[in-house]
Amino acid sequence: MSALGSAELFFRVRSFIARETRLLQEGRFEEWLQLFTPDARYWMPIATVAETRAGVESGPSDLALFDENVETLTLRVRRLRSRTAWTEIPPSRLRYFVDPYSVEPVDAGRVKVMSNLLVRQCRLHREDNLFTGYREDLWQEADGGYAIAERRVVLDEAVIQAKNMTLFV
Amino acid sequence: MNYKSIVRPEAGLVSRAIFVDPEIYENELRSVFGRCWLYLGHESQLPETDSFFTTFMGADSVVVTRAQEGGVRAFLNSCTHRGMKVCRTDRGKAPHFTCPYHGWCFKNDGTLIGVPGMREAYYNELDRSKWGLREVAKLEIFRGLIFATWNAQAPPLRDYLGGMATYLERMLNRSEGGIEMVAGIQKWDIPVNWKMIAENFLGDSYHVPTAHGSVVDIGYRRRPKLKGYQISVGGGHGFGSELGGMGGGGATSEEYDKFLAQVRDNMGRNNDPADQFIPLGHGTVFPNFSFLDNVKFRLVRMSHPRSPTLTECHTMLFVDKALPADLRDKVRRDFILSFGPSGMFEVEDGEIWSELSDGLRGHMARSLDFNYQMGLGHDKPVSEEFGGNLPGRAGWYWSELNHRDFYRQWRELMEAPDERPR
Repeated sequence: MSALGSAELFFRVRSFIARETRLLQEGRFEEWLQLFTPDARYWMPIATVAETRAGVESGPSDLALFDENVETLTLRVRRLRSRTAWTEIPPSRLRYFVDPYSVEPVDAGRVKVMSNLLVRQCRLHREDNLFTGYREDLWQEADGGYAIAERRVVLDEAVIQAKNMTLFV
Repeated sequence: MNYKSIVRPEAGLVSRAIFVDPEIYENELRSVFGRCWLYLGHESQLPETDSFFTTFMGADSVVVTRAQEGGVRAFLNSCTHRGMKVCRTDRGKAPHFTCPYHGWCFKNDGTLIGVPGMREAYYNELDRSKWGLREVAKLEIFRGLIFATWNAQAPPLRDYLGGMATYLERMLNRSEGGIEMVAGIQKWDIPVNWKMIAENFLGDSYHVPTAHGSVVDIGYRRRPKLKGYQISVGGGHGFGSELGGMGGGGATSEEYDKFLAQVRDNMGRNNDPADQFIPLGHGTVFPNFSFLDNVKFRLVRMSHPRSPTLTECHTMLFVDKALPADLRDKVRRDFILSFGPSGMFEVEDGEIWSELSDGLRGHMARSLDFNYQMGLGHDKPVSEEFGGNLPGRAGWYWSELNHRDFYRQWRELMEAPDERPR
């Protein structure tokens, strides 16, 4: 099997990414939440400047940039819908580029997908944030497509250059 | 610069220029950050001999080590030959640091131990003992928190903290074994002057219902009770809170709240009026060490200046060692959900601070004053309000008392004549 799985598998993976990209770019966060399994973990460790590659990412019980379950992700989405969620009023213009570089069936019905991420967030007149990193996902077969059971995202910045992080990646 | 004319806390007026002016900023690096006690980190960041981490003192990069000799030491992270950073990582273990430019090598106690070409190029005439890493003038540890200063004339740390020490004790030393830091530091930039962040943590309960209205809307934080205090202890230090601990609301806080109640009960046996201040609330130790100690978690926040309108923010999470492991994880998640670059509260602060700062580019916007008149003349001794011999003066829950004292302290330092450090 190639790094991207079979042609059929890759097409299914790509299709799922396309669907998620559309939901996020269009701010359809309630629908986006439906892409997760009920017990999913959404985790973004901190990248630090370490002597070796192995020391870069913070561990599972360390401080992180996000460490969410579906309940807290839902809270974040509900907050974004508040009339006083200033961070997204007016809304950001978001562009997602997600490029899978490893697709690996794990066991019956589960597939591990690693992707590069490039997300550009433009807000108001001049605010311009570029987030790059990689994403390590575990997906579960569901309803002819997939559901995200685990998502681990590592951004490349050790000091986040954006003044805040109100987007999902 | 006539600081008396631009900073007038007695009238509740402070010029907007101090949040943008490059000349004022340069003076700050020298007169404020060159003189005050500054927070470096927590002892647990140096778990063993030869551990180190890097941080900032003002805009200066520093490396903090646990040396074979002399325990915890802190040095300017700058090779004495051409100024290259001798350490370029966040943390690790190293008995010595070799400069990547010409290879000068320093032990982690600052001693210069290696100079390439010492014999052939320097003819053995270089006095290595004079060219060690520049060390801080003083370093002290308060309840595990490492502070240092470049100022040889600085008073002992306890004296510098003054009345604040009484209250910090309630944050740092309230259960068996004290506190520990959860590994990892969130680091990010906010394009705003560092003082805007320091003053917010210091004394701004006023912004919560508006700036953080969205978090109230979803019930994650209950609407503030409008019963509380701002307390200034002098020296620019202060804190404030809703009565009974701030930040309550949502199902997630209940267990930690119970834990805190237990802590209060245990402390309460001594009948010390200071125990009313558990959890302590929001606050700042002058100039840029801030904290939040609420019913969900306890964080330390550093606002490191990088330019007149750029601040590198660091947040760290502290828990009681006695906190049960499952609750510790809950507290960690609650903190991430609330504060730091992605936190539901803090994202709004970042939005507001950077947009207000962007609005200060113009001549007219810079020529005005900010208004700090809230509660002017309405504060009273803390002891009158809360009993005992508690230090400081207290204003109502919404008061800019703390801000006024912060800028009073700031002005005093900015005006003080320059005694060349060492």
